[in-house]
Amino acid sequence: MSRPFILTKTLGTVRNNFTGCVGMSFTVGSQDIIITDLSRWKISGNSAAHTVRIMSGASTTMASVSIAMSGATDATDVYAAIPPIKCFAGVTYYQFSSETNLGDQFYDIDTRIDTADAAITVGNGWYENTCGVDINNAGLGTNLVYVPLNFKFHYVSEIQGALANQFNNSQMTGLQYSM
Amino acid sequence: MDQVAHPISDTFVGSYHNEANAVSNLYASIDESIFNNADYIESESNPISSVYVCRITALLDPVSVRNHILTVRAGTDLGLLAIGLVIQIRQDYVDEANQGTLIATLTQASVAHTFTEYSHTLSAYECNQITNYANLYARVVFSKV
Repeated sequence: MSRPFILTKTLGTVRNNFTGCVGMSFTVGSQDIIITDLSRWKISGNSAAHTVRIMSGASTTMASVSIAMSGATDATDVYAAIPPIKCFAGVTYYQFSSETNLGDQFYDIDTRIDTADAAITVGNGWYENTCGVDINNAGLGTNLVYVPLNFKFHYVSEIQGALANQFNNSQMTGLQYSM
Repeated sequence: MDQVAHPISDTFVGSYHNEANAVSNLYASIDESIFNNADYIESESNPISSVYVCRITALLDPVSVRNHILTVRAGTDLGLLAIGLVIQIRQDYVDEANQGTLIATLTQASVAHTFTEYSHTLSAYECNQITNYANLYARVVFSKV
């Protein structure tokens, strides 16, 4: 069963004066993970749909999904499933939500999050002036992020069945010709 | 004197990446004299005839055809789906359309989940196919069974 990345949040200041994408970075620990769902936190009054993405760097979107705030429960992570993606141990990734000036409110970078699992490290807040293209570090402290966002994941080592069959990669660690 | 050749450059990367999900300089993840499981190359999920080709160290013509051995260490990340491995030693490989001369083939019908070494000892006939020890390539093909 997949688990949420973030369990505890201390929400910061609301704002809606930016058009672009905002979110966070995170670094996978010693085990590869499979991400199955992405979420955006809903503030009361939010009604738009937001594109939430995972990126491995500038202009490298790995997964993207539209998450509708309309009809969702206030003050919760609103999840949407994605075609599962594999994130590699030791690699830093970025998660963003699209936001619009004077549109839905989101929480500013004074929002603190803490992970449920020490095996994945929370980074800090990042933003994009052009969604899916540039990535910019907001420059504040670790665990301080925008919105906030979240995702659900499995460790590769624990998945099985149909999901596992999507991630059955072959590997080779050495090759030599001796004589 | 014994000679050992290792990968020295990528020739065809295909859909492979390394342990850090990078898609260049993959050979550096499989070139150790003592195999190291901490770095590796990896195919896409559920590979179907997925090809990676690297050039290996230039060797001196050994004259002897005894004890020519191709050895690899391979595995799968989940082990829940059978994946076969074929490694060809080719001379004068250029690209997938011009694969040069097939020298020898290591075939493993189903690779183990955990990293396991597989080897193929070349026959005298296979060794005698080599006319240029300075231009040999390993063509790796993983494919789900």
